[in-house]
Amino acid sequence: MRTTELAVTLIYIVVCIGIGLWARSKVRESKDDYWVAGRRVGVFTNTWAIMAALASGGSILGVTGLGYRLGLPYVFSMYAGAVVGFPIAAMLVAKPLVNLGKYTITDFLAERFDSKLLKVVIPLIIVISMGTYIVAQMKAAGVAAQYLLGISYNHAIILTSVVFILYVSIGGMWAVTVTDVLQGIIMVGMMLLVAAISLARFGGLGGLLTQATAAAPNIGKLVDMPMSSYVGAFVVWAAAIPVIPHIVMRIYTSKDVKSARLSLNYAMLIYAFMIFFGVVGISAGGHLLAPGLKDADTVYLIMVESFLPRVLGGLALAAVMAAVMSTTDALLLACASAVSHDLYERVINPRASDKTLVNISLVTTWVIGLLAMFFAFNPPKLLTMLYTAAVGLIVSSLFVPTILGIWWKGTNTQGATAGVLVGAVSYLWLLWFTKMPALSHVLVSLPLCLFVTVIVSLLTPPPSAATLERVQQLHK
Amino acid sequence: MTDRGFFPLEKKYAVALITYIALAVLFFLPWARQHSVYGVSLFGWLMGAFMFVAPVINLLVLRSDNTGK
Repeated sequence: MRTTELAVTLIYIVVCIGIGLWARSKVRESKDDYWVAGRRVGVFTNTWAIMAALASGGSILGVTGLGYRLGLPYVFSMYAGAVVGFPIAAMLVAKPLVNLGKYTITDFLAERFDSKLLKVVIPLIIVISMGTYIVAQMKAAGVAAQYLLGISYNHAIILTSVVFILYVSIGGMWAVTVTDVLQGIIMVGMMLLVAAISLARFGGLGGLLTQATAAAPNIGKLVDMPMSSYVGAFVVWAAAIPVIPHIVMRIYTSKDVKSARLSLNYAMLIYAFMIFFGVVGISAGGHLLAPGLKDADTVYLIMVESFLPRVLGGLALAAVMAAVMSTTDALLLACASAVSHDLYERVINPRASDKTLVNISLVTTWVIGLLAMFFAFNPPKLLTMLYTAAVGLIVSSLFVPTILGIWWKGTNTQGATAGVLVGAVSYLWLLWFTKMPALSHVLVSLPLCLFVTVIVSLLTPPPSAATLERVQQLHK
Repeated sequence: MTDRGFFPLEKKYAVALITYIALAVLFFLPWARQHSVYGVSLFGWLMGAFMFVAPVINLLVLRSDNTGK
């Protein structure tokens, strides 16, 4: 057991739980506070909260592991997609969603398309995708806790999962937002510190890359994956950001449209620095410090142990926990809102009180969190590939109906319903029953969704004037 | 007469959107894979640069935007 590192990490977790308890007093009976932090979040706070929500355990352990295993070009093409997705979200969805003033992506689709089927199917898609995303986060937490405490992986998973679920369930979006600022700053600071030490030790950018690509030439090349996988990785993330529930909820928390747009872009600049220098310093440096790693996702931990004194090492490990917590909490909250708000309030009991809905959220958070913990006992090897595949399901089903629903007047309920179903079913079929290259499935399912949505919309009656007037109001 | 047109997107946003798509297509073309700098494919460097360029373009576009204030 690493006592100093453990102490620093524990202090950090206790602080987060303390914040959750403090935030609890603000959310007792208000679903606006619980889900969207009262819509009062400013640019600075929302920038760090968005950054931390996206920068997951995958962004520290996963992305450095992915860079180590599949090379720098693969990681950059995937994360360039995510970064491009934010300006797209800022331009195409931020204003209508802030003007709508609701809580979830389902709210917009339910407002735009009057379909009971969509009101049930979309929350289910969100829970399946985000649940898988949570599994990947819990693996990252398990790997870090196992390293830190010297306990078995399964015990580490149980311990970290219970802590995460506890603090999300007590505080809602207020707790998530405030802790995300702290978590974002810690994770960016520590990842850049480790990367900077690696760059300094191995002769700067040019020196490190020259040595690393001489030792492991493949990390600089496009060799392991077909080009369709590179394009798919880019497209999945570029299309995900405007519709992925835990980012969309951040848009709703903004106090106005400009604040939402600025936060999305500032967050991405910070994120770009962290990913670019993190991957160059840690993934490439890892091939010089620890060549031939069996579990690539541990390269960051090995660098931390080699480079940092113990107290800073503890902070660097806390940064992993921070990354996992800040994403897991947002994902858990997105799942909870999908069940309690999208399913229960919209479909089952529209007259439910705020207090009832918050209570249902608490139960949902625990059920989904514990289910994710169960699946995290036997996760696949590369974290980032797992959660990117899960995100592909949301992209395939929700991106086209959302964007067309906002911008194309001809999109109607029949077209959107057919698009969601065809996008989701085709993606899952391609994922499970074909041997297409990793992450390339979306290159088929997304155009298919677009084609079906447009054709069905054109072949069926157009939306009513009242519907179009409502959408028009969202653009003002 | 049914209206199946589009809601208008401000010109500056349309230009930014087209720029992103054009850059992405350009970077994925084969020419970017045929060169390397410090052992890393030019494609990798371009994608890395894209991560910084995309939000900067959007922030420049937003400078003249007073929406929502």
